[in-house]
Amino acid sequence: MNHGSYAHESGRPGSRGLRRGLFGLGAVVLVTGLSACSGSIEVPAINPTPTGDVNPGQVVWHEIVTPDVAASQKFYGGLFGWTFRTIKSDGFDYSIAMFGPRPIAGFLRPENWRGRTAAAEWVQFFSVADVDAALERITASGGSVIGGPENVPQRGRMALAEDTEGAPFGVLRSTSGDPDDTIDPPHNNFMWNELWTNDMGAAARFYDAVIGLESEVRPRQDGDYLLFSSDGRRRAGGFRIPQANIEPTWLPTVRVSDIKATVAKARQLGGEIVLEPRWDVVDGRVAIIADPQGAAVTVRQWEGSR
Amino acid sequence: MRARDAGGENMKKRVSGGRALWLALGLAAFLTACGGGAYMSVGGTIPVGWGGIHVGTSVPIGGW
Repeated sequence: MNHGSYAHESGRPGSRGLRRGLFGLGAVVLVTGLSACSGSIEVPAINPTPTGDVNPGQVVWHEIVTPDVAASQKFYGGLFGWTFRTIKSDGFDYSIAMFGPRPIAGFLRPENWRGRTAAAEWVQFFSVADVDAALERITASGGSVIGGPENVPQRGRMALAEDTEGAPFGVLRSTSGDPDDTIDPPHNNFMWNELWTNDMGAAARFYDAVIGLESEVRPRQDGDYLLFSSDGRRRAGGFRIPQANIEPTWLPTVRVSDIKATVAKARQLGGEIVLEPRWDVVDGRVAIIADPQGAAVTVRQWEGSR
Repeated sequence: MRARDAGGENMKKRVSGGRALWLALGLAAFLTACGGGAYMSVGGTIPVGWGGIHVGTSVPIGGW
């Protein structure tokens, strides 16, 4: 593992005790809600055709928490062409975003999410071989478990956690195995995930310890980039938060075919542009969009291949 | 994802405490009504999500 110049950094905000306790309530709803409802509803496996693969460190699932599932469906359906299978059960409002025949994300309205009733946020789930062992490592490494673990029929065993800086993420052992990680992501599908952190060294150590993600620092003109990998494959990235009004989080990236058209469409659908396409940021081929509920997603025009 | 003001940790503590107070008082419905990227004021500005945030500096995003 290469922590580069950040090997001796450390840092754990000391103001999170109260926040953790409150935020845990909503997270429990996210995970246990699925489990509680699973007796009467069908939550599809993440792979229509079981793979049997377990690729620890691979991001295998995404969920968005939103105060308005229908509005979020309208936005993401309009922006990326996703379709939805809506599941309603006793106040638990859940929906599966479909990319063709494949489920790619869950849309959820929890009663509250990490202490907030109107929060909107994307959360990605890492594949782990053993969820319970991962949770022990999370706790031992200074993170916190905020939901689960729970067995969700057809999907697998899953739990939610926060890293040492409070960035939420999930861990999942998929019943149907992990998706094929050798194919290029199609347009309008998730292609990448990036951690916004105040402490790249601490993040590198944490995700190595709990998920098994190796990391290396790649200097760039616009700042160092933390590249996470496992089993020889790139899994995610990370970088230092560039300004004071942003808290640590993970943001997913969706591959798009035309960045300008995507941004224009997002505006038309009521989204805000957090980061406009700019020539000095990936040659103007990347943008960050806040949906009308406030959740952010990165979009990237990318023509390469793995 | 939440944003915080430029005041740093001290402000963040006040914001967290303020949020807890609002919830304890059962004013969650008010928070809900203020969703969708709107802002409210409880001892400071509490953006709900990324609404209103603009990344104005260069950032090493897109390292795929």
